Parts: sequence; structure tokens; C-alpha cells
Amino acid sequence: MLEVEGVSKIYGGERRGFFGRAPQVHALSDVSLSVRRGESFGLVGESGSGKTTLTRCLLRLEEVSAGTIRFDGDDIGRLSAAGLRALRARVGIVFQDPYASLNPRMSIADIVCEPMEIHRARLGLDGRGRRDRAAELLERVGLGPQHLGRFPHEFSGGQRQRIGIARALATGPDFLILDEPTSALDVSVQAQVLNLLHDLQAQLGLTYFFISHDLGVIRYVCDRVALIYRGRLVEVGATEAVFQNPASDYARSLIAAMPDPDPDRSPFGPRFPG
Amino acid sequence: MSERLRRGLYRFRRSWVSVLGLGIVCLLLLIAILGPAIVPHPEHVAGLVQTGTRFQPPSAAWWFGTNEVGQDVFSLTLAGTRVSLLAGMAVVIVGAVIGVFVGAIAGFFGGWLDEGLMRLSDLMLTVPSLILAMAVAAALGPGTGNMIFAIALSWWPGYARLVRGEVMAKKEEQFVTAARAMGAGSGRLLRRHVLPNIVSPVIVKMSLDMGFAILTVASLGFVGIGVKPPTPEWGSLLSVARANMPDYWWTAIFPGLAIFLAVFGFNLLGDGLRDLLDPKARR
Repeated sequence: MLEVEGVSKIYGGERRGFFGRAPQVHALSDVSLSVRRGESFGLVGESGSGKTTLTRCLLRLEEVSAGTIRFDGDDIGRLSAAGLRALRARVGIVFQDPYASLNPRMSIADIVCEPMEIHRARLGLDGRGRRDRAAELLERVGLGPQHLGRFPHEFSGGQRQRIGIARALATGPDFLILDEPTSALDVSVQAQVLNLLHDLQAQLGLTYFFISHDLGVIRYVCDRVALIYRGRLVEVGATEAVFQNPASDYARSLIAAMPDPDPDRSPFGPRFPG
Repeated sequence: MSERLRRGLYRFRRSWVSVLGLGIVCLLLLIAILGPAIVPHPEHVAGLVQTGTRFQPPSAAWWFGTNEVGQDVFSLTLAGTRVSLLAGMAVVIVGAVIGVFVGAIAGFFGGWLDEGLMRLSDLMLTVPSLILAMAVAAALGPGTGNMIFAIALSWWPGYARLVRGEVMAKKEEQFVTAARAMGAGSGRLLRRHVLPNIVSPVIVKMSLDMGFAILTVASLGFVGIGVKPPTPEWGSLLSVARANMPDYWWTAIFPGLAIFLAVFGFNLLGDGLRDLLDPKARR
């Protein structure tokens, strides 16, 4: 469904003053991966490894420096304006920070209805239809129509992330980019949101592109996983295979560093001897 | 929402100078609205000359005394409120509308458009507003409309700079990226996501500017290129009265006090609003 072929993204290099040029940063070098319809594909990497750059390129918020990204066979770098609109209706995105990604001046109804307004020609919903769909979406993510008139600051982080998911689903996308959707949440709330995402995938037949630095979350959610380090893919494969038999040194060191929930094996030693 | 409003009102009420500012502004607005209906001598406002009672000092009959043609200074000052306040408000609103428009476009689109618009606004800032207003009056003729146009012309760059900075900061916010990723166009991003989030500093600047705008309007009236007599306006009242100083001081002191009160009130209110809406900007 999504094919990324040899994608590089280089920042900088523009002229500075009369003589100098800004130093170049290779955010992505020669990244290739493919995501199959209906699967959950995980992308793991530390901060600054190029995860977010790749998502920005997928949505064409940035132009790639080299390589191609194909969505359902169409090169997204060559989409017409109409084609780009259609892409943005078919690809939803949920952001990491549920506090920053909702406009504080808009009501929940406006937030969830906005993508339907932008793509009204495609969806064919009038104002009332949009509002009904917004109420239905809120119910789907575990909130309710009574929340439509409220504002983002009245909700907790987990609830806001649910609103973000409802917004991402508003246009009826079949592909969802999840950019660390749970890393800003408490552990107990993380589990709820992950379960919600899991249920939605089963109900709606969604394809997930799941970005995280939390290996435990990736292992729970994803069918296949790719490891990215300093803009390069170091390992791609089925999740269990990667976790059981990591091929690269980087993957081995990451997996070795995963916290173990067993208190007897805690590096801090037994807290209550005897 | 109501919770936030209540908390805001509480904070506003705790600073008595803000409440004083609000009180003065409300009083001035009331006088401006009621205007000619509450003055004791509307016929003097309309231009009646009574040389028999010229230069009466302040007394129970003439609260602020009378001027060189026997008109009641209290009535004139009260009637002048409407013109001064309206002109000041018009200047601030026209300046803010132009400035927000220019600043939003410059900050949002950046690049050469930003450079061009900001250099233009720098250019406007270098021209002293009084001189520019005189030039406009010389070119288009004196009059209230031309005066407002002239002052607003030198007023908008302040708003353009403020709005440009705020827009540049806000457009990097994640909810703007989110809307962009959903396929929102530039117009929608600006109207729905960026501008609603920068209203507070603009409102604060408008209320802080009101006093200065009234002062500028009065200055132009004083040099004789603003509101034409017999329409009473604080600046032109002062201008006529300066010939009567120092013997008949009351003809000048009361319009002057009115200007002082308006500038003072709007500045206090603006300070209070800033603490309320935009606490970061507090010096």
C-alpha cells in the first residue's frame, strides 16, 4: 500500500550571507520500506533519528531530496493539487502531543468537523451530517455527543488523544500515521489508547504506520517493524523475528536495554530483602 | 469557559487601578453616547455667542466657567468627548485592521513578501505621524475623515510588527501542522487556526493605544488641521484657549484635563487587560 524507495532528505545547504552555506544535515539517507494493506508497521528510533521527518515526507509537508514515495501506486511527489487533497483525505495522522495538536480556540465539534469541511466535496456531508458523524466518531473513540460543545482544555491527556484519533478518522481514511500517539500519556492511559487503536483497526480495516521509541508498545501493536538510526534503516522484519533474533548490533543493544517488568531482575536489586 | 472568565474577572478586580481605568473608560463612553442630550447648554455647543457672559470664572452656574464668546466650557468639553473618542477609536481600528492584514500575510508567507511588507512598514515608521498628517491635510484638505486616515496611515506598522511576530510563532504550533496535514489551505489556516490565537495581544495593544490616539487627534486639532470648529473637540478647544492664558486659565485647563483623563483611563484599562489576557508581556 505504501512504498518508500531510496528516500533521502537533506536539510540546510542554502546560502548564508555572501560566501557561506548552512551545514547540511542528512535527516534520512536511502530509506526503503513497504507497508502492506491492513498491517501495523512499526518504526522505531531514538530522538533525532528521522522518524518524524519521514512522516512529514509521507504527508508531503516536506519534499524529499531523493527517492520516491508511492501510496497505492501513485508517486506522491508528482500528485496534482486534487491528488494531494485526496491523499490527505485517505491518510490520517495522530500526533504525539495531545496538548499542542488541538487548537485551544476551537470546540470539539469544530475540531472533529474540520477535516470533513475541508473534504466536503469528497464526503458529501452537509453541516448537520458532519455534526452527526462527529458525534458518532466521538462515541467510537469512547467519548460522547455531550462533549461536542466543550473545548480542549477541559479534557485530560488521554481524552484529548481520543479526540485527536476521532479527528484523524473523520474523513474515513484507510491509512493512519500514528506519531508516538502514547508517549505523552500515563502508562495506564497508554494501554487504554493502544487497545482503542487495536479495536479500531479491527473494525475499520485500517493500516497503521506506528512510530515510537517504546519497544514494548511496538511489540504489542506491530506486525512488522523497522529500526531507524541516524536516518538509516538498520533492520526491517517481522516484529517477533526482530525481537528474537536481532541481526544488527544496534537492534541487539536496544532490545537489551528494554526494561524488564520482573521486579526480581531489577538492576536496583531486591528492595525488600527477606 | 465560564470558569476561566470568572477567574479572569477576579484577577482583574484585584488590581484597583485596572478597575479605576475601566470606570473612567465607561464614564467617557457614557458621556460620548449621551453627548449633547446631557449638556446643560446645548445651544452653546451649536455655536451661540453670548458676549455678555464672556470669561466668567468657574462657579455654581458655570461649572467650568465660560470662554471668550460666553459659551459654557463644561458643555463644550462634554460635547467634545464624542468627537475625540470616536476619532481615537477610528484611528486605532483602521490602524489595527491594516496592520493585522499586513502582519499576518508577512508572518505567514515569509520570504520576499515578508521582506517587502516589513521594509514598507519600517519606512512608514520613520515618517513622524504629525508631519504625515499635515502633509495629508495639505494634499486632501483638512477635515475629520482625512485626519483619521492620516493618523491611521502612520499607526498600522506597530500592529503589523506585533502580528507578524505572533503569527510566526503560532504557525509552527502543532495544531497548525495538523490542519495542514488534513489538507487545509493557507486561508483556512490563517483564519481558523492562527488569527484566533493572536487576538489577545492585539486587543491589549488597541486599548493601550487608544489614549495615545486620542492625544494625537487632540494634537492635530491643536495645530488646526483636525476637526473644524464649531464642532467641539478637546484639541481645538485648547488651541483657541491658549490665547486666553494665563488670566482665563479655566478655558484651557478643563479640555486639557479631559484629554489627560481619557489617556489615563485607557492606559490603566490596557494595562489591566494585558495582565489578564497576555500575562507574558508584562514588563
